[in-house]
This record gives sequence, structure tokens and C-alpha cells, in this order.
Amino acid sequence: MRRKVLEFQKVGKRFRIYQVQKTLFRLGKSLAARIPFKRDLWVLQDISLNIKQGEKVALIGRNGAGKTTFFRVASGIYPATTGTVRRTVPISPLFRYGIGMNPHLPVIDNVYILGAFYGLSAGRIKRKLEEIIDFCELEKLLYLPVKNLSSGQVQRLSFSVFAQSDDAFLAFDESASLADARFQKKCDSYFKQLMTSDKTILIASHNQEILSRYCGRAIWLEEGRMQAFDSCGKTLAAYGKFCQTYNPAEVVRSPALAK
Amino acid sequence: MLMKNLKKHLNLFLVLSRMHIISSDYRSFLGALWSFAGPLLSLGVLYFIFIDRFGRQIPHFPLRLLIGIVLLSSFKLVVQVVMQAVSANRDVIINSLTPPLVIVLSAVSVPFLKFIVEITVCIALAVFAGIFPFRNIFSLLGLSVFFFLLSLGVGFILAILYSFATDVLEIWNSISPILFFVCPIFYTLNMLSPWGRNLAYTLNPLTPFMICFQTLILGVQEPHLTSATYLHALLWALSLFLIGLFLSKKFEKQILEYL
Repeated sequence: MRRKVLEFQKVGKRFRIYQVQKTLFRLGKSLAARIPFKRDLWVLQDISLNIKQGEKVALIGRNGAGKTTFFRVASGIYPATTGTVRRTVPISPLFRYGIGMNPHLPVIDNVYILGAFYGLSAGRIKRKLEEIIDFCELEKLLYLPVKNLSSGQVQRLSFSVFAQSDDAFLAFDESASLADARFQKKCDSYFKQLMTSDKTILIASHNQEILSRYCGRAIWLEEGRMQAFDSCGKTLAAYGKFCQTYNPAEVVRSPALAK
Repeated sequence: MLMKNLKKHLNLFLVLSRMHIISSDYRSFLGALWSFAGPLLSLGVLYFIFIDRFGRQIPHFPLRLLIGIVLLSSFKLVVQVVMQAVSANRDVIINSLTPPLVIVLSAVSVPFLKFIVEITVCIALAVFAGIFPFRNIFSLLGLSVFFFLLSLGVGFILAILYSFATDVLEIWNSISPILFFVCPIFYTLNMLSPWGRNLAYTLNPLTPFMICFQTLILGVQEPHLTSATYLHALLWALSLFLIGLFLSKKFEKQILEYL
């Protein structure tokens, strides 16, 4: 039996949102007058699930449903406000491309920087440098500052370095929507290989074709609550049905706004 | 796992520090000298302002002034870098598993190098003037480490306040120039009234450091320097650093959510 690598038990995540810019004066005034200066925003509520070693799990939901926060709580960037999160292996996250890169330094230096962010040692990067450059197809631009690359090229570079990670649990947020069609094809073969490996994968994407092709189970989040955690086909179908219920004639407005 | 994490973070710290250094002026010797232009310009201006009123009563006034300027500008730079390091790297911190402490410590690598270069220039000038007691070199090394800990500690404390109230940086920028007048840079403590002397010595953590550095580099016994002055400096550094570090760890997760 495969062991659990990630377990959520009644997990909730609350953010304290400040309505205006925090200054010492405003904080002091709010304390003195006992007027709440911040409000609570629950981004995740009551989520219980577990993911087993080697599983490929999709995460779906509308914008603002809590997918990114789910990823951050799962990988340990944010602590849970309520409930418990148990991880038995570290999760290697790819949430955004180009994080930590120095735009003034050349591509070659940024390969080492990205590698360090993804937990790869300088020695390992050195050994894999040719492979990385081949994958991102930026060999002619190695000594060009990163600020001169297009955003697609930055994505290619980030992804190529991340692809060298040998962590057992990888998390991708919207990562399947990559650069141009040619690179997309390359990524497809990488994903194919990844999805048949024994690595655990958690992936969020709006591209349902990719998710249904690769994932065994799917989590559907809506307004921070888990609507379903079932086989990928069933969950995607339920989510698709939910999206179809949108009626353009229906005016969605909160009572407060209507006033 | 702990060792693996430590190794990963050490690698990230080294890569980021290198990145900061090669993207600054410190990638070449001339560049490092160029960064010394600021303190030299301040020295020129302040020397001509204070030479008649204070300078003639103080032995080695220009060098003493330079040491004071170097210490104060390094302190202010470290505090400012530490305060802004976390908010400037928001994307990295909320999208990867990088500990904020690694980001902060790597960001101060350039101020640290700048301080080492500048204090070395002061020592070289003292050697050139034939006043530098070479036996003090190891004490100076130790003192430099503690001075850096003091700057980091104050930076940590202010960084926490800054994450709770955004005007803290502005307030610090407004009040930090006062430090120039409350530190014995262009005057000596025995020029002050007993009341002013006690205030400048006991309440200002920079004062014991200024006295110790000036004494160790110039080889002139300050009237107020005793072995207790060294102890005083070390206690300030250790206590502020430990308090800052403790508070940073305590509020780390909250700061992350406020980013």
C-alpha cells in the first residue's frame, strides 16, 4: 500500500486584510478607538484530504477559488490557521516563472540562481548545464542580460531549470500553459515522462485536456471550500457542469453593493 | 532532512550573495574604490566645517572623522537593506520555500563587503600615518563582526515594525540623520557636559563602538575608554542581535501574510 505524502485535516487559512495602508498613526488610532482596522478573509475552509505517493492530482477551480493558497499551505510556505497539514516528503513548488532572477545579470548566471531556488547545487547545475540550455533553446543568448529576454523565454528558462529537480513531490501552478507551440510540445514530452514516473504531482491548470490526460484524481475548490475530490473525469465533469450554469442575464451583485 | 535543508539554504545564500556582489560595483577593485567616493566627499565637507571649532583639539581629526563616517554610513546602510529586503523580495518569499532569513542575510553581503573595504582603507591610512598599532588587528576583526551583528539586530527589529506599519521606513529615514550628532564623530565625549556624555554613552549603542574603533585604529587612548567599554559594545551587539533574531523568527509567518 502506498503511503500518504500529504494530509490535510480540516485545514483552514485566514488572512487578516488591512483596508487601507497601515501606518503607525492609523494603527494607534484604531487601537485607541477600538475600531477594527482589519478584516478576516477565509481563503480556505475545512479541507480534508490525503495524497498518496506517486499520485497525480489536479487542482481546479475558478480564479480566486483558493488554488494558489492551497499550494502555498500544502508546500509549507503559509501555515494553516486551523487544522493540520502533514507532509512526509518536501514539496518542490513551481508557482511563478522567473522568481528571484536578476534582470541585469546574464542568462548563464540566472541559471545558477534559479537552480539554487529550486534546491539544486552549483555542482549539479554545472553538470546539467548543457541539458538545461538545450531544453530552453537559449544557447545563443547565454550572455545576454535576462531583462532583454521575452516573457516566453523567461518561462522557458525557469521551466528548464525546474525540470532538473529530483524531488519526489512536485507542485505546478498554472504551469502547463507555457510559451510557444514548439516548447509546449517539449513540455508535453517532459510531462508524459513525469506522469509515468513514481513522483507525486499536484498540478493546477485551466487546461482540462492536460489534466484529464495525466491526472488520476482532481480537487475542485470553490470559494475556498472543497466541492469534490474524486476521479479526475468525475470532478472535471462536475466542474464543467458548474461552469455551464452561468447565466449572462443573471446579475451577480452583493447586497451591500446594491445599496 | 535537516542537513539537506541546511545545505540547500547555504547554497542559496552563497549564490544570492554572489549575485548581489557581481551586480554591484564590488566586482572590480576600481569599482570598490569608487564606492568609497561617498565617505570621502562627506569627509571633505565635514572636515572644513568642523576643523576650527572641534578639529584642532582632537588628535588625528581627519582620520577620526573618516572612521566615524564609515561606521555610521555602514550602520545606516545595513539597517535600510535589512528593512527592505523582505518586502522587496515578496514574490520570491511567497512563491518559493526560501526562508526570509536567507534573503536578508544575502542582501547584506554588499554592505558587509563595503564596510570591510572602507574600514581597511581607514587602517591603511593609519598605517601610512605611522600610527596604527598592528597588535590591534585581531581585536578590530572581532569588533567588526560584533558591529555587524548590532546593525543586523537593529535592522531586524525595524524590519518587523516596517511590516506592521509602512511609514516606519519613512520615519527611520527622517530620524537617522540625527545619529550623526549623537555619535562622537566630530567631537570627543569629554567635550560634552557630564549629562550629555552619559546620555550619548549609555543610550546610544553606536557610541561604544565608535570609541573602540577609533582607539584601535588610531592607537590613541580615549579618555572614556576602559575594558568596560568593549564589554558594553559587545553586550549591545549581542542583545540587539538576539532580540532581533528572536522577533524575526516569532513573527516570520505573520510577516509573510502581510506581504
